[in-house]
Amino acid sequence: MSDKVTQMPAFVTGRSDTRAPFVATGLGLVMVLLTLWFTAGVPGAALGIAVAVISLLLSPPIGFAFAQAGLLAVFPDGLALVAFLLVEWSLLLTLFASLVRSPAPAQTLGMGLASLLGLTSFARLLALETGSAVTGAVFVLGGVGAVLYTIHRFERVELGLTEVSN
Amino acid sequence: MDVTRRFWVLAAMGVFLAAVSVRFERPFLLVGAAGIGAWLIATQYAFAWTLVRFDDMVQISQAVSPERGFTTQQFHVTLSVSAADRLPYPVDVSIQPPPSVTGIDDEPVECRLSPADDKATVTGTFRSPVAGRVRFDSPTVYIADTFGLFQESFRRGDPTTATVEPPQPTDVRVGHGDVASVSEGTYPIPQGGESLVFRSLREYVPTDPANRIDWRATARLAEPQVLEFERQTDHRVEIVIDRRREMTVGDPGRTKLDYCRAVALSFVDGLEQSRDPTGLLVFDDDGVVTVRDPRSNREWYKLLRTLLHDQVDSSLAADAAGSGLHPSVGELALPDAGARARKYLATDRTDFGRSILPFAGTERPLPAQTTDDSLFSTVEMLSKRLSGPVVTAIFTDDSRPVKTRESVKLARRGEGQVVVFLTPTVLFEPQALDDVESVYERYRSFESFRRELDRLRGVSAHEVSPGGRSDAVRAAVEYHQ
Repeated sequence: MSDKVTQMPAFVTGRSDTRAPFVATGLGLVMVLLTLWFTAGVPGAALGIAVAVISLLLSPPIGFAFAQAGLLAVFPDGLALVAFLLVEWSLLLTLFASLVRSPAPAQTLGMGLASLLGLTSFARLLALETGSAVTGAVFVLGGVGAVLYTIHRFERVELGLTEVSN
Repeated sequence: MDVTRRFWVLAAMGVFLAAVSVRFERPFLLVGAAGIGAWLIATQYAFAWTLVRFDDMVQISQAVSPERGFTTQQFHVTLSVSAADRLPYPVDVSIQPPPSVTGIDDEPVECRLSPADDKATVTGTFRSPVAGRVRFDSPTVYIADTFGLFQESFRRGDPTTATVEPPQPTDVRVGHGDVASVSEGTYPIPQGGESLVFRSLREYVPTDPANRIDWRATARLAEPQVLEFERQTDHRVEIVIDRRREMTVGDPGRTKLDYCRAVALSFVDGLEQSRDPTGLLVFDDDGVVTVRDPRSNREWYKLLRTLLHDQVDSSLAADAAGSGLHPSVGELALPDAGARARKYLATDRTDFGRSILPFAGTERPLPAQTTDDSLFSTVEMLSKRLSGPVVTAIFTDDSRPVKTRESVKLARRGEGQVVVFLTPTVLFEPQALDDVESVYERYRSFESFRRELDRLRGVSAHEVSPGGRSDAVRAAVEYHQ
């Protein structure tokens, strides 16, 4: 019985496997390289290699941001929907794979994905409704700031570091 | 929680992607901004998830040892951190010493509980040069997330305190030969006659006996009134304390003077209970340094204790002996300064003036020193200042037996009584117990001197010594015999 308990996955025990993040990130980077090569040829492959190096040397979020900026150079006329979905999916996979290192991977991944879906969906909706990309961008930045501040306040109150009324 | 520079770098990247998305009309870049934002939210959530469960996962305790000690002593504070479950992040916990203590190691005392450990302990050594209650606040916890984006510090665990006292004798023996004069804190105070004197008139309360009702006052004030009396003795007590260089013999905090002060303080406690008017006279090698006329109100006894703490101090005696000057304890410690201050304050009708007038000392000028022995000249001055029966309590040592004997005889004048508290020098010297035979001979000389004084009419002489050393000398001699 005890063996079964120790074999439970990380999202149940709340513990993270030290090898899992590296495997997931490695797989994600390979997928980024392949999809960029497939969609943009040699320039895409070069970008994929650069993204992999930056992600491993610095951190996956920085590699992710670099990849987004790189897409602007590799696809100066914009991306087709299929290419966009393939590239972004592999980039997001690489980004969120690093969250497996967090203390509660299942909850953390769920929170990350829910935030991403909520932010992009409502940003697109607002942009379409108002006909302005600025509205969508402001919503994304404002939404992220609001959620970060809410979690910060929740933590302060739970730890007794501030009064609820404050 | 606090954010780090790395967080701001990522946040700036998200803002940059959003701005570029708008500037170049590329919506996919907004997905990049949202992706970074979502990743930041997820990592912050994971960190907060750990923090709110911190109290369930980690136990922090600290203890100080000893809980009661002296300023010369070292205190050890032990900090223990234990985890009920494996921690996701390393936790640093540090002790928070108050500003008044000094760390012997001069490094912050902290311990780290890493995810692989379930317990960590560290002990810090401190010393408090300031007496009082030393409070170590709750330990500070510092924790940072895996990605280096967030950090938090807060207090957990209970504070702990230690009581630090100035070095003082703890084994005072007041003996009368082989018999201890002191039992359960009672000190040899000569008893005089006593009487009840009227103190106040107050309204009757149901718990008062009916026979205490004063019917005249009741008729006059139309409410039942009772009279209150207090006991008053008819003898005055003058405490004379020797603060000469010889009284500084002994280890720091355990000199002859320190033992005399401890006994004098207890002596004052007994005098306060019987409300005996008590005066104080402190002298050193140069003559009288403090003089206060006998009084018996409650504030006076409080002041008397303060004076005993301030004036009967080995460091002052050593300073005065070393410099040849009076100790610098403020001008009011000097007799002529006290008289000057009293004269000035007598005309001061302000609250301040009235409040400090009792501290200004005697209004009578002190006579000049007439002999080469300051104890004798002090007692001589005392006999001229006070008339009527006086109980004189002299705290001194055995270093000048002839002069001491003459001084005691002078203090006894008329129907007066003298209580002498003598400290045997031999029991205070640092190497006192090295040569037991020699020590015993010197101790016998002391004892014979004490008995000689004790045989004088109206004189009671007591030994004040460290109980441990006194017992050790007796035990060693018995062993050799």
